[in-house]
Amino acid sequence: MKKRNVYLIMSSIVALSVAFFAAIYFLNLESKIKPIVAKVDQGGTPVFTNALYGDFNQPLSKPMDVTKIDELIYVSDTSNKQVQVFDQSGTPILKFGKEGTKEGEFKFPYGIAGDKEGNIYVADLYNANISIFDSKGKFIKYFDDKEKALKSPGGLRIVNNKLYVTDIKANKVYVFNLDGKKVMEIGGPGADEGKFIAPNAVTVDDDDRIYITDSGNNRVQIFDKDGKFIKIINGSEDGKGASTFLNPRGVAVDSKGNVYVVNNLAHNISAFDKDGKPLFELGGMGTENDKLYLPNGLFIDDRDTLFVTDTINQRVSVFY
Amino acid sequence: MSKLKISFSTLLMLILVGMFATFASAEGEFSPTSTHPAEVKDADGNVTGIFVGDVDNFGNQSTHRTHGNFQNNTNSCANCHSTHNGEDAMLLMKEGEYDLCMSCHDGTMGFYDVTEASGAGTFDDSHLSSSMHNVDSGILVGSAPGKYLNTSTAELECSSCHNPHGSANDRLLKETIVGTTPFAFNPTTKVPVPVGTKTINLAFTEDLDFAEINAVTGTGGLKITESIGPKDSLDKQYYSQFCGACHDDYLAKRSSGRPSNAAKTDTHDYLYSHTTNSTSTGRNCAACHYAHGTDVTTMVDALGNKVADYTKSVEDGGKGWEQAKAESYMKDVSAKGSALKKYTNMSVCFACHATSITNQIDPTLIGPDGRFIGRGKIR
Repeated sequence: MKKRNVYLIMSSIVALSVAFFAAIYFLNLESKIKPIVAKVDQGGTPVFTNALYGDFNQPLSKPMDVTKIDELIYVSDTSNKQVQVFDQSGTPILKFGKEGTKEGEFKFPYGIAGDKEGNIYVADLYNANISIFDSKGKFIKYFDDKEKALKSPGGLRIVNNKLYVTDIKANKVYVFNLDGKKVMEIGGPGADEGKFIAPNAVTVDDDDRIYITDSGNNRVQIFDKDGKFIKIINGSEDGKGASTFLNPRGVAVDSKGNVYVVNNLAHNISAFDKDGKPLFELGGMGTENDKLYLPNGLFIDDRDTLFVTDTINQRVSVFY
Repeated sequence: MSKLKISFSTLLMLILVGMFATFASAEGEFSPTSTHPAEVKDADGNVTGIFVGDVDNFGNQSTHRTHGNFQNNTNSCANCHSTHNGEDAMLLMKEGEYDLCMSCHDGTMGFYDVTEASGAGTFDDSHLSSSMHNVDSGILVGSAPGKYLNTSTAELECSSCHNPHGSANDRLLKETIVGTTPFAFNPTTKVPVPVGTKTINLAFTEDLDFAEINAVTGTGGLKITESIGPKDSLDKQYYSQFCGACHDDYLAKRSSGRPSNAAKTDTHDYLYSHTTNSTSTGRNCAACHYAHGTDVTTMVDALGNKVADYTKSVEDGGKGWEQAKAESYMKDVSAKGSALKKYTNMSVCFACHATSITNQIDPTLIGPDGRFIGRGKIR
């Protein structure tokens, strides 16, 4: 190759690179680049990518929980007594439910989860029931809680055809088959290991271990698949010291086994590795894009995308 | 020419360094929070942190307490206050106050759910005949019915009546309501009771739904309780003074007219108030009104029955009415609304004063004391 051509190619590389970074700098594209970088760097801290705000005419009001069923995101829009459905870019697709105590109506829609058929289960804290809707938002039936165990259902997840639900007033977590037969019961009121005060969220990891947010005791308790207590995560070394949580709410586990806990009154999400060692924190109080303000519900999808309900900012924030 | 070659290589190197720096900067940075104000790493690079709430003032392991009893190393202030970006002179984020309180008091903590009927009534506005101290709606404290001396321009919020920092009074009820003057004064001497003195004792009973939790907190810990209103005679008077801090013209003895009448120059005093400042049953604010709010499912009739009592089946001691029928029986038809009343319409008058007309009413509704059965609920 001629010297001249080498210089030309090199200088064009330089020019393009300079133009690339200049564009990022001057057009404020950094927030768009970060997720791309994060995608390349799988080991990194998740970063804010976008937020779901809901319909302009009726924005989310106190969204308490979120889940993803197939490719759609379902949010319990609690103060509006309804469920709002979004696609991943945040476009509102559907909303259903209204205030009331009858079929298809809500008083305090809270935990939300989907089964394999794409049906949507919504726990209502005040109505003390779980409603089942089809994917179009049509009410099908109430979850057939055969023993009438549910008093104040809060957090709700469906994993491997089992329904896990926290009962806030009973201070228990129930596990049901999807036909409504109760197969297990964990907890009871108290501060000892295996007891709860106001459990608000539940999730299950790939090894069938059950994670339960024990809000009143400021901790997350982990149980094996038979409901036997394993350990506590509360931010302290070994979970044995004083808790650093402030009103913990949503809990979720990613594909690496890292545990994420929403700290409602500290306005952040604390992440721990599978041994309970603190990794990093997301959020912090504020109204900017990557901040949270009284966050509550948390869901992590199979691509390790985090969805967190941000109640005061009236949105669901997505971190990846 | 060789010089030029080197400078291009240098440029390329700089670009590469720049790229790596950009990627590196995309890594998460430590962001301090109220419970984790600073990052500290041990020899292995693990975050050990400085966490607030680990150790209390006495060197013991301790947990954060929500209201009052703050520690000397607290960092909880930032939950409500913003050091440099406050929205008012108290560095508060006042837009979020109601939501902040409601992140726990909405039922998600099990106890002290203010949307559920309690000794203070309810903040649920979804039923018929609801009325309440409408916090978070922008109404001014100075617009209270019966205001005379109260000219407050503050907005009505949870913190208008409750002090989240703790209070000498039960249920965190504030010691100063309007301005900085204590609301309470000795009913006889009229001398103000200094701040720090407990004036409002409420008649608490342990909430049996939370017996196990109450057992956990030991003898000195927080107990979940239910209240039926001010406890003893003097508490009733102070409770009325508490309400009277805003509704000042209604704090009066029936025979002496309202306070505002004293300012009138003519002798024709025509505005009187039911006695509200007495120690006797039925003659304090809490006898007839809830503090938070009321609705058709919370109010009772002169017999002390609720909607739920009438919808119960006959076997269970009810009347087996449909919900709609029971609600239309219990609904408050007063032109000015249900006014946070405990009894629907004017049935509280009937429950108390029925003695004078007993010959006109069904004797089965009269108790052994010669009064309406529902009168027993009046304090």
